[in-house]
Amino acid sequence: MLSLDWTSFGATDAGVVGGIQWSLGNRAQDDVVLTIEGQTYITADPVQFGYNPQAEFTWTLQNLDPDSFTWTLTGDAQAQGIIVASPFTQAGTFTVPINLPSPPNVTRGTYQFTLSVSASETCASDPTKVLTAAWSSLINLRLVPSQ
Amino acid sequence: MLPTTTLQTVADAASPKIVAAGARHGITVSTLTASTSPPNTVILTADCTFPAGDPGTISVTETLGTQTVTWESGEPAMPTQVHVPVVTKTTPSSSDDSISNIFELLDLTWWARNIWDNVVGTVASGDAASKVSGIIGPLLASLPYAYPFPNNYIPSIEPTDKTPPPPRTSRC
Repeated sequence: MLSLDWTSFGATDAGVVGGIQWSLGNRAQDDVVLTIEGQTYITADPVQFGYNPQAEFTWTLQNLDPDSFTWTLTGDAQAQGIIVASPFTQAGTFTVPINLPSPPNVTRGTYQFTLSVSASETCASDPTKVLTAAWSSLINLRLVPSQ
Repeated sequence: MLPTTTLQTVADAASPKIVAAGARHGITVSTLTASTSPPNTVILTADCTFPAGDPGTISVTETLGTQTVTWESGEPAMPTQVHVPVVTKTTPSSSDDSISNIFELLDLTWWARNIWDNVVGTVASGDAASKVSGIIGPLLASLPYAYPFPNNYIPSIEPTDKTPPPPRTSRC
């Protein structure tokens, strides 16, 4: 892990300049943090949005450069996807499509899902060591037709 | 160093959105120019024609600096208090006194909204920084404190001490 301590940050006529003191350190499982934020209670109007609403979530990692980073939706609808992260991209967003069956199979009401996110990084020098991060939450979708 | 030519490339990338936002308010944005001024300012200037037909400019001046932040790390060797680059002040200006809020007019906050504010963000200092954005603030917003990377990126160093190393711990 590379940590940067900026000793200066300013500008010259030629551009933006900065000074850095850097440190290298190890990483352990206790250092890894995965944070997911987003709406877990969603109200959707199928008349306006159809039966395929989407939910957007933000993610933030600390101390993990995952070689596997995925989200999975289970429950009344299923979907899965890949999240792309890198040492320089430790935060971002992902969109979860909630594909409900079309009427008459779906009516107004509340539908429940579980959204799970998992990330893992296998040690480059010792594949027996793996750093992991996981998160999951219940998602409630309330379908309320406006007409 | 981040040269002004790169800043101009960033400004050019933002240009279509800003031109479109200006058009919605009757402002014709002809050119966008990114520049720097020692010791610590970056200026984004738009040459415009205002709704009344008068030519003029609007600009966003960002003042650069550093700020001390504290973060948690389980690694004892890592500093938990570091200085990060920030925009300490964002100042809008317009050559037309009737244009009171150029940020809303040109929707300059779009770019900040599109970049998730991870760790290092713009710092409001009693000015418009919490609501508006120039060119540097959004770039800084995407920088984390620390950069994790695989340990095989570090080349091995031939040890001068031939004493066998201690057993490896679970750290990677």
